[in-house]
Amino acid sequence: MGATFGFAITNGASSAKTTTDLGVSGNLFNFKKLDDPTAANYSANPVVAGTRSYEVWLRAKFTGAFNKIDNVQFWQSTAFSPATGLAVKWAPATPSAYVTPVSGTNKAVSAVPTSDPGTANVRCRGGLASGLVASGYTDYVVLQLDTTTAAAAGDTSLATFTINYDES
Amino acid sequence: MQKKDIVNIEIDGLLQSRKNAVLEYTNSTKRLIGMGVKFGQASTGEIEVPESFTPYLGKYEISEMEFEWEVVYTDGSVLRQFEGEDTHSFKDIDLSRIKSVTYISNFNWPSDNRDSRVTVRLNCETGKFEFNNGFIDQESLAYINDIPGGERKLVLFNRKRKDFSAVNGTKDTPLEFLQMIDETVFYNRFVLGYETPAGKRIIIISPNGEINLFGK
Repeated sequence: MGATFGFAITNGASSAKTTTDLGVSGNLFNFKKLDDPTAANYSANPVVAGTRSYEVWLRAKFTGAFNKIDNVQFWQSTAFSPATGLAVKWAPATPSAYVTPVSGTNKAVSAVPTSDPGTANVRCRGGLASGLVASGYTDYVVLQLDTTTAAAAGDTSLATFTINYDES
Repeated sequence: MQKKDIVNIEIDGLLQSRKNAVLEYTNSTKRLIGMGVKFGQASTGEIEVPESFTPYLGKYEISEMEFEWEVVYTDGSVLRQFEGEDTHSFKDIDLSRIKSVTYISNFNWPSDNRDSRVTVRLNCETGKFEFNNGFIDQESLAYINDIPGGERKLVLFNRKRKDFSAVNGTKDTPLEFLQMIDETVFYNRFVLGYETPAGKRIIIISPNGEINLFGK
């Protein structure tokens, strides 16, 4: 059996963090004004136009038998439509150390890539070339929705994020 | 001149927008499928397996992967990715005694050949690639058949793409019309080749059977 892939989300205070497996596809998480792993409660915790969501701390999780997982690339493949007043930010350093998520400006300071970066942009074990050689997680992909007052009320459309990796 | 009914004009416009969106959705879906992209159900993760997969039940296991590998060792023994109940990973391959590596498609290529699967074989002893079906342009074919000297180091991996979605609400409003987006996307590519001190010859096989030079 080769590698099994899934996303995992980490929540809570750094001193008492919890990690939850999200699965592999579909609406795995939502941006909201709450730090928890539940996707469905976003409408009860809306992001008010002009503010930021809580940070979402994701990792790709690989289990099973493989020689190496590397060249991990992450980008936003389809934007919100319309995307007026909505910007997804991320932490390009893909930190290996977890920090308590906040709804202010913290780790997610750069615009998330919106096309295939071509080379690895998600670290594993602290490096872009390190890869995983046994079951484990990539470093953190920290996302946050940054809105302006121009953001329309109501649900946005779905934005799609993509992960690309090599398995040998 | 009669005064136009503003509401009807608006309805006409919205119906046209909706129709255009469906047409665009249909056309883009058709093109994606042609490229080898697979769609599954987001809520269950299930992928519908095309009918054309069925001829290979028994010999090649059905999986979400469009190509499966098969290794022949120098003593003639064979290691297949899928063998009955067993599934092997790249980690199970003994690199020290490989004679050849073959990627074999789980779908038919439109062809009159006796075997209509796409097969791409690398003879690790000679560095020669062999193809049955699939498409590779002549320039690429000439390039990979110009075999560089030196000890060959096998390059063999799968490149996988996964998509997932996120939504946001800036106000408590129910989500009503996005059910058609209950889908997930899979796109796998299959890399095979070798490196020597004098150069490398690596190909990447798309899930629709198109073969290109890797990194070009």
